[in-house]
Amino acid sequence: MRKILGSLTVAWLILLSGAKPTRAQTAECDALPAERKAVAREIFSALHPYDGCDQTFARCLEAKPPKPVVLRLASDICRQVKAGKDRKQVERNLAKRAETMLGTGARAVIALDETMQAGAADAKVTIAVYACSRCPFCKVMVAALHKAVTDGPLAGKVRLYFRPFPLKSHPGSTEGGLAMMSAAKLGRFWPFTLLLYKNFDTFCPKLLPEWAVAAGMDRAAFEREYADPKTREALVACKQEGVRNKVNATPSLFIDGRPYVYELTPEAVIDVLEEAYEAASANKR
Amino acid sequence: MRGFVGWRGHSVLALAARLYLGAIFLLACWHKILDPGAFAVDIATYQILPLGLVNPMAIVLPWVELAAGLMLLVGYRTPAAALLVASMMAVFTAAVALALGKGLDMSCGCFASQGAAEDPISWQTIMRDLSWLLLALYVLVLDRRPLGADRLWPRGTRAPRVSDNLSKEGL
Amino acid sequence: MPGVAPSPEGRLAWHPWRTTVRDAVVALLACATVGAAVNALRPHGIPFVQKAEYQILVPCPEGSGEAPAIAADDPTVWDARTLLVDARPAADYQRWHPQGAINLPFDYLEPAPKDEVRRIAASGAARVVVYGDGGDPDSGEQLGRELAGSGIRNVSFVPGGAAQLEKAGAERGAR
Repeated sequence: MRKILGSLTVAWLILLSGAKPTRAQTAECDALPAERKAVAREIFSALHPYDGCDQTFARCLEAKPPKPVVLRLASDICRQVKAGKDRKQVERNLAKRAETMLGTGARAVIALDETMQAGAADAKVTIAVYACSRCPFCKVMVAALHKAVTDGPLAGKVRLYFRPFPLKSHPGSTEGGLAMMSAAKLGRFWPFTLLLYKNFDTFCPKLLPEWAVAAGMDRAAFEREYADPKTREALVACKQEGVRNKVNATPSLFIDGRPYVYELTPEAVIDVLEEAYEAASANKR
Repeated sequence: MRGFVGWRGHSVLALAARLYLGAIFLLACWHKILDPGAFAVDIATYQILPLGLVNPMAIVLPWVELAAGLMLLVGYRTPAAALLVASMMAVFTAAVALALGKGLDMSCGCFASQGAAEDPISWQTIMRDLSWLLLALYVLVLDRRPLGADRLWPRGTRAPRVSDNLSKEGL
Repeated sequence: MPGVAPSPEGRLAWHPWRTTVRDAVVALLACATVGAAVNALRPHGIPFVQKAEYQILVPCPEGSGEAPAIAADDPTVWDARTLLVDARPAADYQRWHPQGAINLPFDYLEPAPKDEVRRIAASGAARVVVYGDGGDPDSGEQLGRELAGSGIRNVSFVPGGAAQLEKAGAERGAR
């Protein structure tokens, strides 16, 4: 009996190993047009995922079931192939994602200020964003991340910390930064910051007290905090912390202290954060 | 008025304007022809055109600039070339004005467009574009007999010449 | 739109506008055809209709350049053609500074005043050496990088800041 079972198992294994790498079991890859599918197949047979499996993507995707992280990476590769990236670019991007997720250097030391925090307090993953109040890219990124951690796909999974990093090349960045620090002191940081970014095109330092009132602060209290030299010191300390962490452009993101060096779009960041959450949950088990 | 419009010197002044505009457009179109992808990003940065129209604009516009520039330089179909240049300058001026009105500060280094970083738009850009528009209009309206290919090889329908009228009068 | 009838001189015929517009449209269509053809045939042509949104934003840079470190006891620091810049607050500068050093207090939030930067650029010095408080981050290094980013060449900074410079200066004096 055991001999029969054994030979059957061997026969199945031979059959399975002989099977060609089939299409990836992700909707993203299935939806690719024919010539892009060929590119994706070539990439899958050459590259290796940095986590979850030691073989090539093609082999890893044959596992039943494939690891979620492998599926996620394969989906990401197909998304890049669809956007017209070639193999070299995909390989470079995969390396950057690996560096973001695994982190090679020392962890950045970031003071996680609870007054500038969004998301569940017990979330497993933290993301810190160094942002300037007058940076258009920060406007897009911070708004998207805030939405994702409060009532989006990252709710309950990721905590978001804002670190003001005013850029000298942006007029009004100091005023915006001081206003944000004041709002944080008065407990209305997120309503104020989101309002600031919403009114990005009509920014004027004179309007800041009005916007403070619109965000639920007392005008006199806000102006007091704004003029307080300690607020400026705190802002400078934030910026110095960023400089220590080698921040020289905004937005700069740090996931659990590891610098984010992958593609800087809200979709890619959210995808990486979901992967980080899955990895953190898997480790805790 | 007739004296002003009919002044022969217009052709000479217009020649100077044509050479200037032609050179500008030839220099400007070159890098756009070489790298349409980068030019498409420049266009997209203005956030005026819908996404579907960005690439056709990036593909066609540099060639129009090249053709108009060459035509102005050699004086071939000069009125048409001046019309093309004037139209393009009107469009560019409007685009820059719209972008500035939106508060798009392209010099902050936050934009992927190389052109935005190297030649950031400002009110001076609008003044410059308007002056080029005026030069093109000058060529279009007041250059009656453009010096160059048009004069050497005139097309079928041309203004009657003195000799024609004289021969008609039996002289 | 027919224009004025030709005068006896024959020179005042108005432009036949219709012809002009027609020529312009023909040229436009010809350019569109040529452009589309070249784009289709070239190896790195762009798609005629772009599907994915263009990524028009990039992270906004701080705009600083590179300023290498130079040791406090390096002879070039004490050379006559070197301009020493003190990045510390004015009070610290008053308390001690090497001979010939100028004071340009570094602020993390506001850029260095343009006229000060211009003064440094026009100083005719062969090199600029910046020193600060020697902390982490070092204000001397930061000011050096800001000056380098503003276009000043040959900028370096002294790690350890004024303290190291004072020690090196004393040693030189002792020799």
